[in-house]
Amino acid sequence: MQSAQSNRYPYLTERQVVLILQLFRNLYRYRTMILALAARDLQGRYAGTLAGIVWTFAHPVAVIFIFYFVFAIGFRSQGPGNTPFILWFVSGFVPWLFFNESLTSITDSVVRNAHFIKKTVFPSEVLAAVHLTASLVPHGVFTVLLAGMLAYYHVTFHLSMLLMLYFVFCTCVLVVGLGWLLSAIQVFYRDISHGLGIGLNLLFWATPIVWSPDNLPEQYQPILRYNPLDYIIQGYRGVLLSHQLPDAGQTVYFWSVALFLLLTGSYVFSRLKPQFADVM
Amino acid sequence: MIAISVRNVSKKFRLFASPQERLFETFHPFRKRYHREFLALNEVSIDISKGKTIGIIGRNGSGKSTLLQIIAGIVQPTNGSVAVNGRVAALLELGAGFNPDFTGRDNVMLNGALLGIPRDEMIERMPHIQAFADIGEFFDQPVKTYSSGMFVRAAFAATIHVDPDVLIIDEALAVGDAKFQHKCYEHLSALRERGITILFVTHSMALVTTYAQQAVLLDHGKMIATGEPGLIVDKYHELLFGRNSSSEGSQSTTIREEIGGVNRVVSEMASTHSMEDVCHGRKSYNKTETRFGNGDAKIVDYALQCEGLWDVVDVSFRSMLHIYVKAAFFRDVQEPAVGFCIKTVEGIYVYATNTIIMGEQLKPISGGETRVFKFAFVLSISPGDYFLDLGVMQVDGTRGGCVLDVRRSIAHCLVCLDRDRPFDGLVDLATTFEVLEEQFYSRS
Repeated sequence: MQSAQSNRYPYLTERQVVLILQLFRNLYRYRTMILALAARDLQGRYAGTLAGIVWTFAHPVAVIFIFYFVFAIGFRSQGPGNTPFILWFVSGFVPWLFFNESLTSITDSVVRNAHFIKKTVFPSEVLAAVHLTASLVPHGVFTVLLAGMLAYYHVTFHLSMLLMLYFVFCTCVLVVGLGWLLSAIQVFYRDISHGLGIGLNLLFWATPIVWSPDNLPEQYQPILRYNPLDYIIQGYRGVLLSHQLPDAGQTVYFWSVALFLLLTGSYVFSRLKPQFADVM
Repeated sequence: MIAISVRNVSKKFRLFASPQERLFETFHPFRKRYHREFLALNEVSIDISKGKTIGIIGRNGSGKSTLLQIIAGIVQPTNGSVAVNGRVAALLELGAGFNPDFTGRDNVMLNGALLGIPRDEMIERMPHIQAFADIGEFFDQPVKTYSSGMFVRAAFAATIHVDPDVLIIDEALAVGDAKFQHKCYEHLSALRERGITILFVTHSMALVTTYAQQAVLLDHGKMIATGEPGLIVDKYHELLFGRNSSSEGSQSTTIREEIGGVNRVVSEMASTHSMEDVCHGRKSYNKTETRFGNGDAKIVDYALQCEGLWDVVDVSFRSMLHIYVKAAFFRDVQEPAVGFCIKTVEGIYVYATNTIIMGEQLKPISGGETRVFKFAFVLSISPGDYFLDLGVMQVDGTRGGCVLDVRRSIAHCLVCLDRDRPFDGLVDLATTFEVLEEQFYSRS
């Protein structure tokens, strides 16, 4: 994929570092445009439908309903420590939804905005931020719904619950890194988004979202900790339901993975970006 | 001051036979090359000084658009460098990167944001932009509902109202109606007076000679020439119609030397009784001709003869042109007729006639026979490119007759003039001139 010129400099050059830094600088520089594009994305997503934005919530609500019936009523599952299953499940499902939806739309973002890339000098790196911002809105609504459920089940509010915002931030960093990586490769190989669908499905079941890690045989439990999503999901549940903070070891591990992905993503994106207009 | 400096710019595109090959090449352990290279631009260097208007011309696929995209910064050159002073606004093909789901207004705002213009300032300019686009309530409708004309109106309005230092326009204006085009060009002239550098690509040579101060001719990715628009346009015509290439290998047969030379080649043409179509062997033959007719007779050969040259492409202005048409008849035709027509590139009929309206009566021709007809006239038409239609008909009382075979644009010829032509327009009306003598002034 690299041109002859770049083969001569296979490693990180100073110029490359400048280009990577520029990606981040552009996120700040074009912040108003990011907001405008995100707002338009939300408006445009269900343009022409009667129910409009309601469709954003219809699918997840249906999924929550199904899982509730299958697990809480069918299998009589219980959340750990006598937490109602629905509460336990939803508090893990809401961050998953955010991750799933934002990553899927970011992966397609560059390809879907071909008109910008082919016709204008467009900072395509902002597209990841645009779709992330757009996904934050439904996530906010879900969080409000979740707060309503917490109140309904008499979970009292505690200041430490605001730490949830920290986990939102964790998800954002993870998603932007992965998103830059995947959306850049997607320009060249459209297979990425198909593979991503399957990958996300596997990840969903590999992460303790509908099942509790307690159900796993003890010798397998440490493996879970290598899944960065486990950190986020258990983090949400910890601060919302049991006032538990993740341990330091897992925090360090998560940030190593997230920053590694962010660097890889920004490196790959900045390397491939000049060729976008050629192949689209 | 230099506004744009293009230094040895080359652009290679890598062509893969299939997407898999791209994958193989990327992950091949020994970096085997699967691609073929396509050189869209080859070592192009131009310096454009500030405030100039430059027309870029060339055939399809000569690299014009790629060059504009590189100057605009959308596509990166493979080699070489481009330096542009100031803000660049580009209107490439259709639309300046408009998002089809957004309204015209939103797209204009976005366009401004991309160029770093503060929101308030864009809001301030919006009334001007809306007025210039002049598309009524569509301005607040999604762009996907626009006609191509509306699209370019909105895009052009947005592009010129962002205070660019360099304006790049790629053939976009061609879709606007005449009135809008006129408005655009007026505006471009105003921009030019303000010292804005304008680069445009067009296939309209008239635009280049009217608006550009300098023209650049590209061919096969190379810059062939740059300079005064009139000269470059002439060069382009040479390129387009292969005047150079045809004069190298295949000279028109000179028949002037021998007495009766014309008669010899004509009788050669006439005495071949073959009904086979050999038109495509003629130098002036145009592959993209269209043909219709009932097939009772067919035009099987033709030739242009001028100034003692047989089968010519270039004909001199004011020389006598002889058109030979050979037709094969497959049925008895009681009252045959032949005709021809000369058209400009745009399809404007310069002259058309046939034996019916000329008042010639041809003898009946029986099936299986061939005939050669000849028209001759003095070429008093403006130098340039012309296409020739030929036809055989049967008289049926109408002006055109019943069509047996008509071959539209069968031949493409070039009227040449060595010196400056003494008139403007399509036809030389052979004007005479005099200053009235003294005696006319006194009324005695």
